[in-house]
Amino acid sequence: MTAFVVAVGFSVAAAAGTLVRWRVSTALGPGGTLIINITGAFVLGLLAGTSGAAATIIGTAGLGALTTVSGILPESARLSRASPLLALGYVSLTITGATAAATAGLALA
Amino acid sequence: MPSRVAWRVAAAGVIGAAIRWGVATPLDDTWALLIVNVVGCGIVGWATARRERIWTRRLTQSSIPSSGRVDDGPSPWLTVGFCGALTSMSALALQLARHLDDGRIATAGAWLGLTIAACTAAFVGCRIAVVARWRRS
Repeated sequence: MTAFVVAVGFSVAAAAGTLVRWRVSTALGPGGTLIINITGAFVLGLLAGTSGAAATIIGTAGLGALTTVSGILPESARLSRASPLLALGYVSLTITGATAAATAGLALA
Repeated sequence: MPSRVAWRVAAAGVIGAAIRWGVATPLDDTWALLIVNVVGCGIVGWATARRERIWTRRLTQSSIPSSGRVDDGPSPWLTVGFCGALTSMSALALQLARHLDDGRIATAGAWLGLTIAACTAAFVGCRIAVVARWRRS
């Protein structure tokens, strides 16, 4: 696969991942970001054995851009105004859920 | 047809993802991911605090926005697009899952603790820096 095709595929996948996260988190709030992060981690676990251009385009670009760490901090700060426990639960659920999902993906791969 | 904002968010997402990929090439994946996650959280902290400062200044000058909202948040291209794609929860989760899969529970715990501490420090630290500068001016 040529470098040009990889560059185009990378750009399309990263743009798509970013837009899907934006739309879902706008529509569903922190719950949407949680679903996105857990789903993305599961699929990345499934694809962990792949390498080359497919891994770069789907894994690094698509799933990397779909999921986020920086997005959960302002959301948890907003939740903490209602309840610090809710914010703590949100961050904990994101990390444990995503790690468990990636583990499940690895096991099924 | 996607809106102009959507194009900007998508373009910023491509740049963020490309930088994450570029940083991972010369560095070990684990350290590269920690660096981009911390930098992304710091930028989001700076951007959210700066936006709040702008809104507060407008309100104190009695220039209430026509929408009546004061919590519009920072520009989505920077926070959702660039920082969102620069950082990656799926890559962090996969790193932790691989450590756990290999029985390296202490290593997984150390990386998780370091990531949470560094990202939170970057986010809060950048917010404090904006507020401190605001109070001085």
